[in-house]
Amino acid sequence: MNDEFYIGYYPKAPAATARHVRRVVVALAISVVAAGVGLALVLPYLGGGIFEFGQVRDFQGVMRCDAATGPRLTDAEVDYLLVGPGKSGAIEMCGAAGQTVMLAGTLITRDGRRLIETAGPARVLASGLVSAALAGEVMDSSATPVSLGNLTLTGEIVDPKCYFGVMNPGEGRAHRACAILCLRGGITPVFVAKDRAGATAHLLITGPRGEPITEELLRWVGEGVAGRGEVVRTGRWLTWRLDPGTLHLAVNGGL
Amino acid sequence: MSTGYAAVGWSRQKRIYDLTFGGVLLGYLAAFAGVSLALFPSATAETILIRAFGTAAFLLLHVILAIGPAARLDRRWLPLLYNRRHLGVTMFGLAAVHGLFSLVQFHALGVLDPFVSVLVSDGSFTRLETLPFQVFGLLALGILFLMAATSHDFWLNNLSAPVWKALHLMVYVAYGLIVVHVAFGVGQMAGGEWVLGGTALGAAALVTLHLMAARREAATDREATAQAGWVPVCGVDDIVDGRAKIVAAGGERVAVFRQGYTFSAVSNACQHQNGPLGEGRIVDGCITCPWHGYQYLPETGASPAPFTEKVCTFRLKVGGGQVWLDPRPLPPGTRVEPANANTGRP
Repeated sequence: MNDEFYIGYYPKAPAATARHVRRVVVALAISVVAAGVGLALVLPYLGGGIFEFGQVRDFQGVMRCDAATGPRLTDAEVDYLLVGPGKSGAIEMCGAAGQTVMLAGTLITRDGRRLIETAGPARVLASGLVSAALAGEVMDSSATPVSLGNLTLTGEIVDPKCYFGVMNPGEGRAHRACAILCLRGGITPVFVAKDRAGATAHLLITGPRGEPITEELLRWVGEGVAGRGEVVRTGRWLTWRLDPGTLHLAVNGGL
Repeated sequence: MSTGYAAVGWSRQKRIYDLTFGGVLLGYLAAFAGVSLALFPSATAETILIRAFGTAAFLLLHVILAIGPAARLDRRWLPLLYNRRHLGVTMFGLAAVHGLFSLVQFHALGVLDPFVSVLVSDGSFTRLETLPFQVFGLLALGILFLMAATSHDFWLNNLSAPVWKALHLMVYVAYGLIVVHVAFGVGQMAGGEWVLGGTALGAAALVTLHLMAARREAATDREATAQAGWVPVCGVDDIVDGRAKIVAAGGERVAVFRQGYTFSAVSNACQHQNGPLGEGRIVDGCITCPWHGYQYLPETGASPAPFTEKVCTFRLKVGGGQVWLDPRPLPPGTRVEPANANTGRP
């Protein structure tokens, strides 16, 4: 039995007690560092998006605007979804709809999708700066919606700004409150549809008639849900004309 | 012990304690952040900080809650108990950084005030799946703040030990809230099974440790039957010189100390933090608390001058080789002549 008596304000601890504490501290230190490594390994995936924070670049293209899905900047190769600073959309960009513009912003990218966080107003360019042919090509290839039929999809409603790179992870339960704020701020809702093999597709969400919807979606944000609606291709993005009444919780499912 | 207040009463051991603790904590944060960045180079600094500080706070809370029962079961853990408050205040600091970064990251720059948003944006109580886990975290942070803000002996003295102790027992409420915060937050995300498993394991370990300590203490809480107003404590030879036997009498624990052939009884609860005086020793003629070394004179229950702490004293008598206790407490600091085993009388 340990007969020592420890008094903390004495200069030194009794020998056996000090030995025990040293052993405990060494064991704790090793365990704690191991726990740090272990927890970093097992905590949920941090997302694969990239947000070029602090790098404001100029983007050039044709401003397209849809009342439900918000502004997009298109060029011959990319169809950028536009979002505003903070937790806000960039609906003011629609003032330049149909025009060739120069836009300062920060790139957000994930899974081949590209978004721009705008950093100022769009500057309408003189028609000579981007060839009329290029602008025409962009408009032709993206303006006509093509229906892909009514589909039941399983996945998660997210705000695209965080999901595609600003947050990492910008999805799931922990991000729910932030996503709700972003959607309330005017950022277009996106559905990340997942099939049973884990493949994903990204669809902008509108109401059944192509009208904007936000409030009806909020209670389902950040959870695994399923719903039904017409899928339409507009430009390089898919749009899901979702009937919010069909949304329900889903554990497993697929496209 | 001291007669005045200082932010921290530094001593050699306290410096070693804090430096060691700080080093281990930095080691954890560096290991977590390093591995996270290696695995996810695109992760933002805010996210890494939120996770690193949150997990550090939760782990540290487990250590803090384990020290108490561990020290009751094995005295060699007492050095870790001595400055446990430093761990508690640091734990609040870690949790506050986690909370602050989360508030800014998830709730700032939106259409709602961040403090309103944290209360209304995160789900509802109508479904378990949408339990607002951030609200639970915020409530826990509030309790931890109260505890950190009142951790100094100034508050202990001014609130009184029982009130201070009750306030600080709310750490268990905070722990419960944090378990819900973790289980219904990150635990619900893809890959959160490990978090749920680890949280359950941690809770099980803490409950087991506390039950073991409680079981040991329960034995001392069995009250002996009083005979003509006197409660039998034990035989005179059952107490080692300089130590005590704890006896339950009149609904409270009393520490009966032996010093040579004399016996004295005081309340078992130290006035400082209600530490178990009966597990202490007589050092330099004073009953010395095993937790923080607070001292009391056996015959008066009062700390030696210039200190002012006092605990209740009790009358004792010795008869038939047995020590007997009058379970009626006397006002704190009341002088009682020690019972003498040779004469049987005070």
